Amino acid sequence: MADLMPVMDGMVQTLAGSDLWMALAIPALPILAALVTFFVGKRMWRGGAALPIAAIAGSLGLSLVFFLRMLNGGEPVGWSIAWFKVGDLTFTVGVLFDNLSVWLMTLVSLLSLLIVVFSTAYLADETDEHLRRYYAVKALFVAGMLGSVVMDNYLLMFIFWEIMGLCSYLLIGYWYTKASAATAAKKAFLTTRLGDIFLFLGIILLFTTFKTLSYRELFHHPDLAAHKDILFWAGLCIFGGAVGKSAQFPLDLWLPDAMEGPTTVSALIHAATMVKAGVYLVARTFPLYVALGLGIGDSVFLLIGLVGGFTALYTATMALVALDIKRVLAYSTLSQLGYMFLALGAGGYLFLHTGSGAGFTAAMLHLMNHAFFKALLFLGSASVILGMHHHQDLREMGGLRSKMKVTYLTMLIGSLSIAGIIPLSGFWSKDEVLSTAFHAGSLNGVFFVLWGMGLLTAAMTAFYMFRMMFLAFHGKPRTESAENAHESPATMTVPLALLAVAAAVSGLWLVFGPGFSGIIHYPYSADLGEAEFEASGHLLMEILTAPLTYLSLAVALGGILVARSKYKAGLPASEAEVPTRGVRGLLYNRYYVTQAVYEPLGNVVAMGVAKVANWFDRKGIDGAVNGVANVADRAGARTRRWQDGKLTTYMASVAVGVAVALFLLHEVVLRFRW
Amino acid sequence: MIPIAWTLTLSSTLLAVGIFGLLAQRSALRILVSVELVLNAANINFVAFANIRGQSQGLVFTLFVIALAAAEAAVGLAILLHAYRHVRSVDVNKMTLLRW
Amino acid sequence: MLDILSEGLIPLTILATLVGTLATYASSNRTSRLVALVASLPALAATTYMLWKVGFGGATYEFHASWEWIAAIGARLEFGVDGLSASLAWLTAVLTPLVILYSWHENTKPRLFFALILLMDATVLGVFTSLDLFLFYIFWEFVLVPMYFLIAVWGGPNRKYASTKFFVYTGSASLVMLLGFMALYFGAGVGSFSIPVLTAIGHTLGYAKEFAMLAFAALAIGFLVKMPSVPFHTWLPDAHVQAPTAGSVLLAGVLLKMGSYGLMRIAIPILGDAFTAHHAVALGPIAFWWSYQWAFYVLGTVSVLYGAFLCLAQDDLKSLIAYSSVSHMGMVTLALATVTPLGFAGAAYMNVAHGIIAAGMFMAAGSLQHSTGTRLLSRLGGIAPRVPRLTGLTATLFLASLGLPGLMGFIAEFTIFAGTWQAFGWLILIPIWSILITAGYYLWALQRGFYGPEVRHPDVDWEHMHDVPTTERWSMVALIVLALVFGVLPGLLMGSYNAWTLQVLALLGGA
Repeated sequence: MADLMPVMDGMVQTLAGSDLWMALAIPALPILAALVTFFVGKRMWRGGAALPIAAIAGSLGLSLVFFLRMLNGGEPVGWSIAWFKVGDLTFTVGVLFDNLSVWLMTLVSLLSLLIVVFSTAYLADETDEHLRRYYAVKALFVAGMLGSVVMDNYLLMFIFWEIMGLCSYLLIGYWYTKASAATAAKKAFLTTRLGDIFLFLGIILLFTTFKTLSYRELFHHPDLAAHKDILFWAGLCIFGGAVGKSAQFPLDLWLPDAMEGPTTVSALIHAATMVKAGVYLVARTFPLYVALGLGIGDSVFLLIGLVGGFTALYTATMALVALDIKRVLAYSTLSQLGYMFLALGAGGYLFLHTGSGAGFTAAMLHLMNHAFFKALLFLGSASVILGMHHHQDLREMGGLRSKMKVTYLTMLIGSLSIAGIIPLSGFWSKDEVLSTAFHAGSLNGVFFVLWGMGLLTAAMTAFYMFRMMFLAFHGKPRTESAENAHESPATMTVPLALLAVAAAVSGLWLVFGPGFSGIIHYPYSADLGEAEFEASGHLLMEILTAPLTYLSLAVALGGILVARSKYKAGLPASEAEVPTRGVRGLLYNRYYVTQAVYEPLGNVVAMGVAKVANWFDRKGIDGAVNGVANVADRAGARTRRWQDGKLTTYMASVAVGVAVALFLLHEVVLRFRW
Repeated sequence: MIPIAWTLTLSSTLLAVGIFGLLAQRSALRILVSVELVLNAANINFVAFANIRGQSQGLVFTLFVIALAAAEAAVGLAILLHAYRHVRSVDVNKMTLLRW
Repeated sequence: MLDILSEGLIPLTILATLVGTLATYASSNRTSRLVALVASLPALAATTYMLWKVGFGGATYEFHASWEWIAAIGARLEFGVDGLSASLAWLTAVLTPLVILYSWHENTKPRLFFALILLMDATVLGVFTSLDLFLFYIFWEFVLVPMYFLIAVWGGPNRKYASTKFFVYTGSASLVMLLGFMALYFGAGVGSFSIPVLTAIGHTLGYAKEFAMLAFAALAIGFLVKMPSVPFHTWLPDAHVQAPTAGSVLLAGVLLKMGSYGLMRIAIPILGDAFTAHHAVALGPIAFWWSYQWAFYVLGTVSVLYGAFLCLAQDDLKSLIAYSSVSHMGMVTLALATVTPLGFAGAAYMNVAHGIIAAGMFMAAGSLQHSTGTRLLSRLGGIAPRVPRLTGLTATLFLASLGLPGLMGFIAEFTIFAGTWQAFGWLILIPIWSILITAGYYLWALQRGFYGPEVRHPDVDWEHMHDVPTTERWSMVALIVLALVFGVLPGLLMGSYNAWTLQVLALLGGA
């Protein structure tokens, strides 16, 4: 019989009965859909889209059930069983549905559903044979993201994390006959693997020291304070994993190249969901960083904020001269992710000193808003690319405003949102991020510098987003494809419209109703400590009366106006060619970091070592082996000349042998008198 | 009596000549003859010592050796005949199949 | 009378497989493959039953049979399995029918070919199940014979060199190992070759310290050459590249495991004190200490990294997979050096994981050769649209080998590295980079050979390029399914390892 009441179990209520089935179905449905689609998808509608859409819709529905419960004040629930034992250590499998995971899984399922529906039209001209691969891997990816978010221990999270990495590899290299796509996929996998080594090490450190990987048990472990040194290194390693997955400096090189995949893939994986997994990981690990206490914890949060702030500015500069519409969005994703880490870092620092969880909330709010407007922008660009008959270069566009009205309007909303114009969503979260950094700056001067970087980034963001908008949609069409552009079908425009609405209003959740910080705050589960958040109406007044708010608004408007003045008329002559020299060349080539650091490391150092090792193995080690055999061979060659087949030689041997034997016998007899 | 030393010298000389012939000849026939020489050298030794000691065992040995030498020469010549049919020569340097 | 379901099971299984060998050779060219396939099934059934029984059992030997054989020297016919050997015996019995299935269309001397495969099955089963050192040695040496012929008759252009090198190299190492066995026998002084007896003696009375050190060195050399561990590994690439696919699969799948099995069953339990004992050394002003445990860490780490770097420089796909075997077995050496439950369980798990996955990879390399006519990655490129199924299978197997979670390899790697951290602390930072390098060489191999635009080389037959045929495909699928099952449900095997792990560690940690 279905049991609808969760069973009490101390800290977190245990899922049971139909609730448990619903909870497990959320990551399980897409996996099943992926398997079935992979094997029989060819014969299904649009190469197999039906099952993944149904499965993701199912996951969304189930997530909404838990989401609504949470909004109505529901308690966190969880469940776990033993998976396998090694010696006397047990590994478990389980789920944890607290505020953070429920909210994120709902967000992920919603976005995934819209994007997969969108792709049925976007990829309409692919062959069914290949499309089943696309849909199956997409479904597996969604399962991976949902799994990462709902699992209750680090090991299982890592497993689904790697599955996401696999799907990213497969989808970036979807058009595997293109050399650039195959290279980009490999680069993505290897770079994230480097980050994953750190995460792997961090998990090992935690497991061997505390004998558990379950979030609840770890965060409440009695020995946490005694092992601060291990906790420090483990925390850093976990952050290393996040740096890889969320493409922060110095592991940012893979994300722009990942644009080789279909745009819907970029939208889902590289904008809305997978890259957020790193932010989620740091958010989830927050209690461990906090447990490090003042001093050590400060330095960790400072590092997180530093990496985030630096990446935000660094990647924003690259977007200033980008010529491919997807590249602009890729750089902007990196930059916004930087904001999230900045917020987490500054927020953690503030929490340690003042107990304010505002930074955590700001980061999560920005995560949600960014997911919406970035997915919107990417899908919009997909619409543009489709309308332009698969041309992506901004220099070839122009005047699309009149030909693709819905796309234009939705992308305009998205751009305004990312630039941070009131009352759209981006404004609220970006403002919160910057104000957190500013307040942390009063405690530690470095954060003040980071705030400045964040402000500069905001100006640049507004600038390059509207540069993109003006170059693509305003002015006159610069090529034939732009002339003949057409609007996209409803399957694409409807999701765009829905996302535009979300991108417009999602930020308002911060200040209306119970307030975002009433739901997503740190500590994020009731059992993890006292909740401390700010009432929403109060927050609205604070924001509207702070001078910082108007500063960031002014900066954003300034950026838009500069872009308008430069690009409203169309493409300036100076930007017609791909830049190779000077500052623009530097930015276009991403500061030559790849060429200067990664390529030598890979091609020269690694391959060099490999070739030397190969030579050493063949000539050195194997040479020694063959040498031994050679010595034996030559000794044999010398000795066997005795056997020359001549009768006389053999008789001579007999004679000599007899003489020697007689001599020895004589000597022996004489000596020992036998 | 003939001094034993001369007899021994004679048989040693014959032995040496015979062994030289065994080891240094190319013709198989000459090798067989050298074998006879060696055997006869041993025979002379046997007779000489039988004479000195006045016993008959040495003489019996001699008769044995003569008979054996005859048999062995016969067998050896038969083998040589077969070999000649294959190699068309009595040169032992041509019969070197039993090598490495 | 003989109880078939307990003590008689192992000898009967081996005997049945040997009879199968004869039957295969005696049948006709066409039916020999079917006879071989059928004859390989009793071993599969028996070992599955044994694995199931042992999975829930304790630390003692199950199916223990012990009969007097050569009373004059104390050699007995002693068989038995425990958690460690049951899975390895099962692995052997699983790979044999899959190899036969894969080579279904072998038409050069098929009777002899399939008979040799079955002979390998029987002798390797003998190695994994015998509990008497004399018997163990006989089976160990005998394994070399069918493999030698498989390489020498059905191998590639340089097969004479490769087969002779394989035979002489591993054979001479076995002689050193025999010295070790003799040392154990004479040192114990009870006139018994039985492994359980010697283990008990080694743990209680112990061998003399210097004597034990030398004996361990002798044993270790024999086993390390087989694994193979750097610097004794150079026979492997040649053997693999020249061997036919069936030979490579069995070589990588089971033969290499014999080396690590020997360490885990004989060297470490019996001479545990020698393994962990520290020795102080003073070279002039520099004083340090060493132990075999540390030597294993060094050997393991070097094998892992050196093997991985070598893979980057390989052009022949089979040679690449061969060096990756060196790298993965280096992880086993590293795991054994840790002397922790996680490490030892990881070593046992990696044995089976690598056995299954490397077997699959060699099958894929063989299929690549059949389909395109070459294995050289520099001559291939962009063949994925022509051979989609092969690409998918190869990619899956490569991902399994680089430790993608969800498949067996990850569980093995995780437990091994966790044990390495416990035993060696921050020294884990040296071997752990192999994770990245491994991913690098596999993905690069995929990119070079399968993805990207078409590369038309005269050596590659684009006209007749066909996708992987049914028998080859299903063999690989079966292995992938196994890797998946054990990746998702590691408890199936871990249960059998835990008892063994704790028992061995008790031997090492105690007196």
